[in-house]
Amino acid sequence: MGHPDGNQPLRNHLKVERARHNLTQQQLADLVGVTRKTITTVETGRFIPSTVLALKLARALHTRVDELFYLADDR
Amino acid sequence: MSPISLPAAAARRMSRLFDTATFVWGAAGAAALVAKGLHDAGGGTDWPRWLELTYVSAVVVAAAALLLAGWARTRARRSGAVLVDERVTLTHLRATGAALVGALGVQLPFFFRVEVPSVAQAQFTVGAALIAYGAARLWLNRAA
Repeated sequence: MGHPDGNQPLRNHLKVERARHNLTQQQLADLVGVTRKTITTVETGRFIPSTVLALKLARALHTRVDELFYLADDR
Repeated sequence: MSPISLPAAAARRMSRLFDTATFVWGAAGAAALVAKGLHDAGGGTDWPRWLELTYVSAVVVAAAALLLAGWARTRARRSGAVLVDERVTLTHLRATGAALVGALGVQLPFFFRVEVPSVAQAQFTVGAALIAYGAARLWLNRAA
């Protein structure tokens, strides 16, 4: 489901943040209104979420989008 | 008590049932179309026993799966399950692209004077599109 840029894949801290909030993938999926598989594929980097979904994820995890997602070269 | 409430678990079961039934409907539909296509391509007279059995079984399974999918979809929606999101939509779009390639690919033999009745060609075309669509969805949903 495609990296936006082969040289700069989008990475994320979703799994870590989710664990920090003691949420299962299904619980997070229910919070943001997507399927569990979508959370799985975002966590593994196989699916790049839309801006809207990224904002919803950040809000659900009480963090900022740029703290949740980052480009591989940036950190 | 489990943190997952019963209605939520039921919604997820219905969602999984909907996915499975839809897949079975597509696979059985493709099998029925290909079986009927093979029959029509052969002149449409006598049915070989195995082909007739395949066709009838596939039609029965496809009809049952379609009914089941409709029922599961209604139940899942009523219980608040998420059936479609942006990843599912993207997967559908990409699988539709694969279905187009499948439908075009199955036309190749007909450029080389392979002659079958047009009804058989139509059945092979739709069957190939269904198979390509289902295979693409399986591939795109792997390990998800």
